[in-house]
Amino acid sequence: MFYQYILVKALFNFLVLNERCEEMNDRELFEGIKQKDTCCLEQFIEKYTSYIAKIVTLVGGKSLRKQDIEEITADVFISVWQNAEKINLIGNSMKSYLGAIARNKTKTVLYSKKVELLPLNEDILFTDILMSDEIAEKETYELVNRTICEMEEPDREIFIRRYFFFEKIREIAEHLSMNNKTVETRLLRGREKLKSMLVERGIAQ
Amino acid sequence: MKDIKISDCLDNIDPAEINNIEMSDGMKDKFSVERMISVKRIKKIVFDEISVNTDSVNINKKRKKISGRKLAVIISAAVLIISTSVYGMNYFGTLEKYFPGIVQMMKDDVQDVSAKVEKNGVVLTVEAAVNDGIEAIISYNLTMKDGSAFDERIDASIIKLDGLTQADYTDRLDLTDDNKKLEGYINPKLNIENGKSINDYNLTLSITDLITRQHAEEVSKLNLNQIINGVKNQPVELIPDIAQGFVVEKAEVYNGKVKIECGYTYETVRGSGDTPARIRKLSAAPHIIGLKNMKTGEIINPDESKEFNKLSFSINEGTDLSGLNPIISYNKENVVVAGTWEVPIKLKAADVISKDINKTYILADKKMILKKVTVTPLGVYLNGAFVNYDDTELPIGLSAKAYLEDALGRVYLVYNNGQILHLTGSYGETNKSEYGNMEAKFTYSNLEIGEEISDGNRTVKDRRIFIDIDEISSIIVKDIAIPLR
Repeated sequence: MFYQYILVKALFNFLVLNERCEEMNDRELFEGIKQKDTCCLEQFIEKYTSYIAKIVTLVGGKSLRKQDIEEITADVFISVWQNAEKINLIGNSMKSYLGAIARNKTKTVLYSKKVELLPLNEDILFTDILMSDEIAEKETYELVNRTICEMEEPDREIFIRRYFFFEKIREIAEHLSMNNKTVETRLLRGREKLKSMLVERGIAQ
Repeated sequence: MKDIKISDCLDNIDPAEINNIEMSDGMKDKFSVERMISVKRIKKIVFDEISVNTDSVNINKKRKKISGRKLAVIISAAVLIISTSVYGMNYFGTLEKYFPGIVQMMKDDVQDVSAKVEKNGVVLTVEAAVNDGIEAIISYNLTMKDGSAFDERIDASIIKLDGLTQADYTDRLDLTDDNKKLEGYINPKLNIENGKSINDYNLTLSITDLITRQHAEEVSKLNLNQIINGVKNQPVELIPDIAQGFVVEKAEVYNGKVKIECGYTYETVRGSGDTPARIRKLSAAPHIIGLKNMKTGEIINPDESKEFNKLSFSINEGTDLSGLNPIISYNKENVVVAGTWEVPIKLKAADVISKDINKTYILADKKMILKKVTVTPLGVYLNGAFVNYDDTELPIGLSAKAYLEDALGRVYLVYNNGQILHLTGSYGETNKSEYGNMEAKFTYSNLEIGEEISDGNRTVKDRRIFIDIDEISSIIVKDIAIPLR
């Protein structure tokens, strides 16, 4: 009798709960994850593994092995599971959150391997800036972040593709139907504006 | 000491910013991730890590919210309307490009400037302006007089707006798809507490030299010996005429390594006022890419994994340093059309809604003594004292005659033609300020906080480009609605 109960329960879990999870949208899956519903987590993994792995591969390129990609991808899901309470989901899609987490985790792994994702002369705005404290440092980073996000299109997208997703200039140009030179020029102008802004605000000289 | 990397600055990006960025097609085709990785293995790693019992906790399915979808449909329709609209007036051209849709509806607020100057075959036209006295957006374009196309790499060396003092600027300049027009706008902002209006000034838009840039390399005339001796006293400029203050700040040799640290000093183009009016002076982006042995011609590349401004070169013991010169890579400016094009402008201020309030609002421990509110095409101004607003957030909203509110509390203004203007938004977490009372520091939204004018009074401005003031019925500060009509 006991084994029959176990079998029926397992069958119920498989058929009913999985079906329930499959029908859920991101917000509902995410609410389930918040409540530590592993069925939702499993469905979530099914749904987003491909997307996260693509972001990891996009950022990491040839520097990552298959095993690295799998581990970083898994790490993203673990992070969502462990930090679900702290995530304030805007809208009904988790895609952008996952993209951001995947990018940052990949970047961290690559930094630990001493892999530079971009040429330093393209990435570094200023060197050896003296920050008065952590707050000043955080504010400076947020200022640059905000300024980029408030750029007019297509500059905003170009900057995010280049500096967030580390896309190649050629790929950005192809995607936005521009020539490489135009993308380079827009990046150059944008960087100069960021530099000028920091100089004008007395953050750098 | 800290390096500021752009990629690091984007670590904490608001995920909403990447929401609509699709992966490049090239990327999608390059490989099939699905074939590469094992979902099963990923699940195993995850579940091993979280170590939970696989018996799920039941949850109730929640009712699907459809307001967001409806909103998306409306926004899509609005985008279609905007993209298929036809606009008649010429002077709207460039403004329409950057601020599509809304400018046409605000035509009463747009000043037709249509002033031009021609020199050396190039015509500078100041098209139009929107100005609320504190801030302005002035659109302009450059064309060849004979209608021919520019080089696709064309740019202006210097763009500045003379006449304003104590002002901040941003600008845009882009080449049209047919390469026949450089168009852009300049966006001066007076300090709020300045007390003056942009209308009080005689302005001149000035553009100097149309240029192209190309990559170039040059060997510094200074050798390492001169550089090392030079930097003992002060930084040494390697190639002053091209490098815009590119200097070596430190250079030393030990253990068979030459170590060089470089930096920039920025050139400021001064305006006619007492405040620098540098709008644009693009750097030649110089950097050292190697050392050249001037006797043998051998090139010594920098050691790998070094920051671009801290280079290390391995040299043989006994190498004659006076025979080694740095090679500089930089963007060379080639003047295509020399000259300075200047167009005088006198701006008029657009209509605004202004209302004396003289009320005190108390919200928890915060007190807002609001004297006056003003809505202009470029923003919302609050004048008063803001006591205990030290938590970095003073959200200002606008309520309109007709509006939509989505499930997340974001408000969209809907115009009669279906266009939607995003009025309020969730900008994520805010940072606490260390400045205490009366020095609220806003890290999100577009708020600008003026200095204290007197008795704790100051002006707060929330920038919104563009607002059709005819559509606004009230301002909302925190949860307090202030009717304007």
